[in-house]
Amino acid sequence: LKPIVARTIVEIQQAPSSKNSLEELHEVCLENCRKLLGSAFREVWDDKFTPSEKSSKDSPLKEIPYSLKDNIVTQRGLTCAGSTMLAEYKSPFDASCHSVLRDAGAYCVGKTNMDEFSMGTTGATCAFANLESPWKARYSPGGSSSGAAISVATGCCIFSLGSDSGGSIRQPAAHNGVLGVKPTYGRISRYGLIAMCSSTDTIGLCTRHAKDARLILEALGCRDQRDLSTETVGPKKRLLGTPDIHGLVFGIPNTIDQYCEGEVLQSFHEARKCLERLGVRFQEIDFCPFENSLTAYKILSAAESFSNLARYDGVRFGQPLSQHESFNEAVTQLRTENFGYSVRERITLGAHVLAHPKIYASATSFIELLRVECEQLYAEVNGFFLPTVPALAKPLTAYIDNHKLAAQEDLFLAFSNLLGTPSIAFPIGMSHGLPQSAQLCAPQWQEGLLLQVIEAFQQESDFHTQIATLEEIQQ
Amino acid sequence: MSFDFEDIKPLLALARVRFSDRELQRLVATCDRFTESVNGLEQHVKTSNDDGRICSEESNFALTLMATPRDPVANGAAIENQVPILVHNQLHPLHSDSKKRKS
Repeated sequence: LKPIVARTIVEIQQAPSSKNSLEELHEVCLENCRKLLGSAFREVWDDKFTPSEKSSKDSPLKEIPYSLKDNIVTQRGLTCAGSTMLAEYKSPFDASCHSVLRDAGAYCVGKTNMDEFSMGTTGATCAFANLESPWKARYSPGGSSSGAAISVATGCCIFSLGSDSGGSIRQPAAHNGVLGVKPTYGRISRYGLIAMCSSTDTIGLCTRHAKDARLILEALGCRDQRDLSTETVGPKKRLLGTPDIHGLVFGIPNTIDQYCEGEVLQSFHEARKCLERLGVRFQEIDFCPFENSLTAYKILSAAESFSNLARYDGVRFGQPLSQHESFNEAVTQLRTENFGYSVRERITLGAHVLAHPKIYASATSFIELLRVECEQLYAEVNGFFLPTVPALAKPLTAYIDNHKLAAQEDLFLAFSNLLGTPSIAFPIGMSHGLPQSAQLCAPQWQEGLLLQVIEAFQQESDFHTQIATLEEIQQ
Repeated sequence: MSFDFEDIKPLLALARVRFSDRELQRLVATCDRFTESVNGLEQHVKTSNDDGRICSEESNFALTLMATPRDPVANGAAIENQVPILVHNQLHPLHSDSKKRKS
């Protein structure tokens, strides 16, 4: 019998004595959470589960524990976004996604640590914790939703909500051996998500099973008047896949070999063969938007971060200003002391981009080109299949002052954010004790199709049920 | 274009942040790499333009597969407590004007 945290939500809910299963799940998760307080977790909410007044008794998410990335605001506790700038920030309202889950009967076990304002790919820019892989001590857990992915990988909860602006859920999901879903831009309300790059910011999730991801997306996907980018058509219809995955065709970009490590390619092609046995077909496609997508994302995120983070001035948000002769000087001192290097670097680049409209225009022109190219490709294939990250996780020290290594982490991920299309990373193997991952991408609102393929893959493999031991983190 | 400290000074004033000397050296190197990659992107866009690969505004709106109908009234609304829609989001594929798309 699988450990309780590795079972699907349906398996837990439909167990012969589901009440006992849910109590066991609650105890196991909270015990694991407490061990990670101060590392993956910024806060653990360990009181006994109390259902929301609105929660339905028949909800499939009833009494299912989840965690929240620390840039999703909650009235309970603090919301710090990994920055000392917000070290004492208490939100006056709950994010929509948190309210929806509580109304569906699920409960939050705590807030997970993250890279400062979602700017990072290793968890190293978090102001409050030294985050590391639960699979190998002192190795990168990925970022920026580092704590979210770790919390699922270590059995602290069944799923975790995070944010993905340029790969921030799928990349840590890949390095932690869990499923990472970046849904279509507009499926899940961003109301209550601390903004970084508004054009690409997407709330998504980490979990183990594709079947669970479907249930969670169905619960979360709804129109929200407070986020006007949310969809208007019922989400359940859109999560339907096809009756059969036989005959689905996925394109594999013909350039991935030049970017990937040999071991990554080996696992990737083994996963491809497994899917071929299940009836999925693959064809090579001429598609190489990766480096330009990353540049376009950097341009957008720099410009939008500059705007979005202007509010942290000690007046509207942020730590109080100290006494100073000039107001500007006081604000500058506050921001210099409370923003880490990565954040200051990003907003300085944003000032540069906004001073040169030509740069911003080149990014938007590129996005149009990318849309046309993908539109043409999606006429031939149902989606794309490629590795999530080109390399295995490395020791944290390897990323210091190595911009190339850090930059390649989001190489295969940013283009989906620019298009607002869904992309799902899922575990496909282990090498040297570290997880391997592949991703499926599709046109907008096709998450159901992707989940269907991954569900079939997960019936043939057990990588997604492996639980990372907490010993690596506690060393 | 190669950056130096004089190029960066006005940016720091806009961003309202400061850097240590060591951080400044790192920042200059980052700005140089950023400029290099932006040049590559601009060149790619220019080449595609010359090839006629950038489609007209009308044909962009015909890309229904990846486009989503939006409420044009709500799109333009900016009510307090809503997620802000930035001006430049008009250029984002998901915030194109739906009337134009229909045509």
